[in-house]
Amino acid sequence: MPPRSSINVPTARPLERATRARLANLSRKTRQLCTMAAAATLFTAHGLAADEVSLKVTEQLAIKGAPIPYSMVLRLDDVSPTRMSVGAYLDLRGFQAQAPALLSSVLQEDCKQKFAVAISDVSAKADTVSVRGQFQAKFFGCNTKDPKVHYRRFLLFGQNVNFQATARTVVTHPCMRASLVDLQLDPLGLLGGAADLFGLTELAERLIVEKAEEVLSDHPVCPKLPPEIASLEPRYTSGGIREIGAGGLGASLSGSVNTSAATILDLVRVMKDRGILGPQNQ
Amino acid sequence: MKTLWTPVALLALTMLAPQVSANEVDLTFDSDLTVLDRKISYNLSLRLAERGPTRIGTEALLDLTNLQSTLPGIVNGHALVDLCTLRAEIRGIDLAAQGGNFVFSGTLAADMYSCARDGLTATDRGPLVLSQDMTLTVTAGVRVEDNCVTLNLADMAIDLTGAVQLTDAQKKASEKAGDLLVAVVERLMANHPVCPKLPPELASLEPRYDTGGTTEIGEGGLGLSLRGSTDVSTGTILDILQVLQDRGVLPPKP
Repeated sequence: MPPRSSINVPTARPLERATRARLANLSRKTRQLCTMAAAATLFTAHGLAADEVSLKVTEQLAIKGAPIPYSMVLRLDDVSPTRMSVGAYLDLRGFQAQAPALLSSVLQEDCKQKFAVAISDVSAKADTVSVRGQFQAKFFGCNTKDPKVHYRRFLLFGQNVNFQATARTVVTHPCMRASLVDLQLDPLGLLGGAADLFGLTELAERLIVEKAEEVLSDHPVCPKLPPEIASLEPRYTSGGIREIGAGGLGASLSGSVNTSAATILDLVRVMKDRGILGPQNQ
Repeated sequence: MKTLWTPVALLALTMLAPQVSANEVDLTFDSDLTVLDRKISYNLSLRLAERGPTRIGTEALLDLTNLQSTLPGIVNGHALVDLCTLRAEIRGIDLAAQGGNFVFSGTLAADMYSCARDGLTATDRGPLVLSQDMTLTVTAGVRVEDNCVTLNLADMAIDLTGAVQLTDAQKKASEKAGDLLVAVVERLMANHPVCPKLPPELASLEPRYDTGGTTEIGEGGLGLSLRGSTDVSTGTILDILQVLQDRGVLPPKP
């Protein structure tokens, strides 16, 4: 065993304290500068620190089983650190163009009579949507009490009347529903005497209202977020019809979204699953 | 040190425990730190967990086993100090975690010279006073500051291996060498903070780390664990949505 001398050095020596403090201070400043520079690069490179995100999605309305695509712009805005607003702006002009074909239909029919509506156009005016069309009534000679149409013999008489129906929408989360607010029949349409004789004016009104209520309540508009961001769970609280350009049919919904820690973790999970955080995390 | 060790051990246990049903996301990233201009990679594991409606807790585990195994090779033969009074060359180093601290132990080949005054450079050296192997044991505690882990010198022991009878001049030179080594080691530690960084995509989730300590990975493996939290805000969500949109996960801007 070689003899060994040992020196135990205490950690703090008064003489070096000033030097060390200076060194430590210097390195902290450098570090802060570096962090700031790094943060600046990150934020500009990725366009972060956004206070608004907008995206355009295509969705579908199903009317008479036919999918009608429409586009929706979603806009999320930073209102405060704990509140984020959502706006959904729907462009329904595709539906509007196809509406006459989709909405024209026979309302009621049997051997003796046939009532139908032919829609000529749908347009938006401020926060309402108006539908113009024609109510068509036909009466036939019929030689049996059987209501089947093929026992029909000849047209006794026919009457048409133009009408305009106006609807407004209400937002009941998560959908927007329209309801009829006004119906006007062209006063010059039906031949006064004959129409009254058959009670046709009242009948036309009743049939149009019934049909409109049925169509409108069967077709709520419920905008959906892309599945990746479904956890934002928007709550729509207001909205209505919006006119796009002149008469173009649009709608908007607005509300707020969930901004909890759980939402963020869900979004991080989407980033992870989609490989944004590297293949090792996928 | 016991008081620090207990939470660290608990933390290590929680991180090793199987994932429970809590709302959590586990992520892992490759990161690196630089020693003597060499990049040494390490693995950063992150666990983000819901801690409340507006708070996400972050647990970070830095796997430094790679550093532990490559550091000796990198620093071997490197002069730790090369000033007028002392040239100390590293001849082997070992890195371990002990009681929540980092322990570096190594051998230095030290040559001590007489100099006209302190602080002169190697070219001003006078005659060699003592040529001696030293065993250096540095114990360093872990401090979390500005989201970085800094080592701070807790204790340093120097053994002059194989020294016989030292003259007064040699004793004085050894003491001076000891002082110099303390200063150098402290400066090295202060200049090498470990700052785990989230990838840019998660930059807005950058946590504030509050506590940290060493942790053992596997058998004697060196690890560093950090714990902190992120306060969430609508800005964080918008930033993430922006990244999702930029990467084509969400439909483009209108």
